Amino acid sequence: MRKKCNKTDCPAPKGLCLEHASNDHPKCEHWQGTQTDQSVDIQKKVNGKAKSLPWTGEPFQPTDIEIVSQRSSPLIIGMVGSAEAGKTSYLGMLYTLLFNGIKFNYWSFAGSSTLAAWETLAQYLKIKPHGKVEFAPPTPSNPDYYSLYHLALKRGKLFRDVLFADSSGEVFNIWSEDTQDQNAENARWIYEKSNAFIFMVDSVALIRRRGAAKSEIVQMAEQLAANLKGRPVAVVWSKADEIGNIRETIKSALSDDLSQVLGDAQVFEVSNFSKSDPDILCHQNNIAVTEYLLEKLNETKNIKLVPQVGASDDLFFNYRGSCGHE
Amino acid sequence: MIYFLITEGRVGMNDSILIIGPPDSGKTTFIAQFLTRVKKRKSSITLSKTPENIKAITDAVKRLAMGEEPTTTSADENVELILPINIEDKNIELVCPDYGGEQVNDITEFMEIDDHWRKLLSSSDRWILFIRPYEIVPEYDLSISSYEEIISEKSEDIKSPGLSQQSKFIELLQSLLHFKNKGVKQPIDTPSLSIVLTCWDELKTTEKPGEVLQKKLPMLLHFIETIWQEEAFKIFGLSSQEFPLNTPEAKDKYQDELPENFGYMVDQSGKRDKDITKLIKISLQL
Repeated sequence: MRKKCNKTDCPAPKGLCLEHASNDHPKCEHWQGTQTDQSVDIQKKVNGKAKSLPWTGEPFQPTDIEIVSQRSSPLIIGMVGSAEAGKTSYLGMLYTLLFNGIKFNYWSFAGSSTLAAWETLAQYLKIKPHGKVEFAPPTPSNPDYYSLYHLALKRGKLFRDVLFADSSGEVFNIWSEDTQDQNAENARWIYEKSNAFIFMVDSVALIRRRGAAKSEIVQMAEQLAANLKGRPVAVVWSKADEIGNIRETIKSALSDDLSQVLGDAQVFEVSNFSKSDPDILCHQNNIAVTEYLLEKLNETKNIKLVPQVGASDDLFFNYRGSCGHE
Repeated sequence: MIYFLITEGRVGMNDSILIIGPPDSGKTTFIAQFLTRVKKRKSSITLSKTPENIKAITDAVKRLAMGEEPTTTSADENVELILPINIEDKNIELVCPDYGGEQVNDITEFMEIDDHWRKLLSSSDRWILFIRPYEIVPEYDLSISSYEEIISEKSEDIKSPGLSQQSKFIELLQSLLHFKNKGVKQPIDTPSLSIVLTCWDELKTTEKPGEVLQKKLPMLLHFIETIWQEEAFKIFGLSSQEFPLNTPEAKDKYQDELPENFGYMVDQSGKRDKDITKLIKISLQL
């Protein structure tokens, strides 16, 4: 169930918000407040024998994964990168593009169990009066903060539940220095559970903090590569409308390091600012990052079975079942 | 010996049509106009028996006859309207479970559904969803408009904006399918889905209904195209009233020529048809 008003006698959302005397209940502070047990009880009584949906629309927690894992094994895409590298904004833009009718080349949208969560991300990319944009606040950095964003996607007859795992950049900074740090629990979880990764490289940080930012990024990439076991990575230079302002020496040194550390990971440049329509950095590349990983994960894996035939003198090990012998 | 029984169409279809739509999406005016036409035998559809309770729309019928706009149904009026109709010798029920449309809003607001709705969903294999596209206004985000100067700020806290109209419709369809025990992995053929874009005259457009939906709610259309079989959904335009009744001339026209002579529907190809009852007929063929 979604959040409701915790003010006694307020009829919102069914009626007008008591505080604002309008339909603006989402803006009301009481609406934002946590739901009281009392308000839940009242609601249950009103609705009589109501049956709830298994999903709420809010971000999944790890324990919610079973909502979709009953029908298909979900693919988890882990968002990795420093604070402010643009992980949350990337997800907001991905949803915004789908919302506006831009499609993947091969995958089509079959719904989402976290629609309200996506909408929360996307609101930070909306242009308000006077050209104002309020970007998302930093993702909370407590180690038990998880937010998984869900998309159901189809490619022909193939059906996939995809979960994007977001967490705070600070947690990843801690993790990149010490993967066992007790404050990096969610980063560890994301690293262990993800099937693929989006590794964000912050162009603006490289302009402002140059070498210091570069070494942080390389450190995190090395940690990402340490136990990758063939899982695909997309290297994404965010805020790439500014990429030309990174000092060439830093840019090429970082590119070299990343390709050395992460091997054949494909590199993308993205931006949230569309300069033209269609815009390559904004409209095409944001979509292409996720599609690249989906396609990688969809490739049939070579089965590496090495048959061991007749390598022993022992009759017991050479026994291949009785069916071959009359 | 094994016999195979081959029948035309889908076996075991429930013969009721469910009309679903949020508040103010034009359900009242459509049903009022539909009933007037059916009663006046202006259509190949007839009433198979007198409906038990038409209180919900009698006011709308009266107002239209006087050349007045029907008033919005109060959101609290959870009147259920059932019209027993006969089409080509088949008896069918046209069910509008939620006249005010508020229950539809509640489904996506509270993420739950009551017993009555669940029964209705399981007994109907044809859904008609009313959407009023004129009311859906575009919002500008960074991907659409390139402002010369963007003043960017960091927001201080996470606020949930509530669902946009587009995701409300997606959430609604997902929820209804869930309670009907329909998965989305295989393309859906039952329930069939008719999307009706209402108050078509407000749009002042020559576009086809599919094009309007693509422009107004592209992700909803994408979602439907992904999970429904192509033959199991259709998009129509509908203007039950034909024009707004806000001038003395328009009111006069309605009183002189009678309400049942106004209104039209727009088919997939963009062709207009004065017989709005065909909408129900076509939805039966899906």
